[in-house]
Amino acid sequence: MAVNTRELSHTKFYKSQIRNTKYPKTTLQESIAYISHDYLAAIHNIYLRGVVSLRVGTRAEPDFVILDKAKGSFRFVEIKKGIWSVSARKTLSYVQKRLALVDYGTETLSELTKVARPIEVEYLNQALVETLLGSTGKYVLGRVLSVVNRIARGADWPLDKIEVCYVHDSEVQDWEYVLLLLVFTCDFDTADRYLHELYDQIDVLNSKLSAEEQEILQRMIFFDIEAKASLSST
Amino acid sequence: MTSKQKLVFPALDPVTYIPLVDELASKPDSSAKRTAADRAYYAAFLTSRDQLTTKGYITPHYNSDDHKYVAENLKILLGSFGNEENRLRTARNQVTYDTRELTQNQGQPSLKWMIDTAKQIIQRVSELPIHSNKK
Repeated sequence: MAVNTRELSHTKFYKSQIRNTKYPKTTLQESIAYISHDYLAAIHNIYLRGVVSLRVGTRAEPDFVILDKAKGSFRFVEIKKGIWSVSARKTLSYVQKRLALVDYGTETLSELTKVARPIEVEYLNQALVETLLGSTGKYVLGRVLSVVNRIARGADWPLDKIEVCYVHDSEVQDWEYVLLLLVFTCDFDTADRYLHELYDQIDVLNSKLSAEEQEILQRMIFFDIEAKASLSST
Repeated sequence: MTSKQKLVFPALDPVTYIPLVDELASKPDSSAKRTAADRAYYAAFLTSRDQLTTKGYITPHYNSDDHKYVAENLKILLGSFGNEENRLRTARNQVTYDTRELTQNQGQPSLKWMIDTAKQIIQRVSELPIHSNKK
């Protein structure tokens, strides 16, 4: 099973298209939905939009698990590929088992997780960031954010958020720079390894920039990580 | 200077902080570990500054402005890996100024990470060649 994320973005989804064979009269929100392969992607569209609050009656081990945080509570989506069932629910109990569960996945898991993890970019003092960087710097920052997004999605990083922070350094007079804080939901060592992988890609980007753009990247844009070792629920 | 001055502090090769860092890190008390973290940063920062100076890349100010100077130049000379020096500085500031409990969930790297990173920075800087325009 493979979900083509390119096609997924064009998938139109209508709730009525999901065949609920177990309980035909019930709504999607109330039971397992047995769906065709084609609609699997659509389920993820729902999931991403935060609509899903399905309750599940199965205890079968899922083949794939996607866990994400939305609106302050955790949801996960289980996919049992043999019967093409998809289920989702808010959960506490599975959070601790997440790592074990994802072991059931195959290469498809990364494809699915790519879809399920939109990376939020949050600016802290955006006006100061933009003033400091200027128009060329804003362009460079955009290129950097693209690189982060691409590698994070492509390599299935547990990267939840990128905070773009203006920093007026307290230790050195008149030192201002932009800090990209990558907020991961994993342990520090793993997040640190991801950051080092990012360094390689940033160096590739740097080699493609003009001298002025390189100057901005090297002198004004710094990186750091925040690692939240375990997922917790509200 | 005609009269003999009384020497207060001899000149220092900052890489010699590293054995001291390792020794302090092995002690159980927080004061020793925090001092190790602090000195690990300074071992990396000062060795970088002095080596970049010796090799003809920079002319240092010998004051706190060098934090910026070194951070920027390491990113230029070492590529993105040079960013590690600024991360190490941030970690050191936290350890030095915040005497409360520090956890990794608050963003505080481990002492082991700080020491390893300091040693990696020193290693990378030591491998830089003499600047081609150095006279």
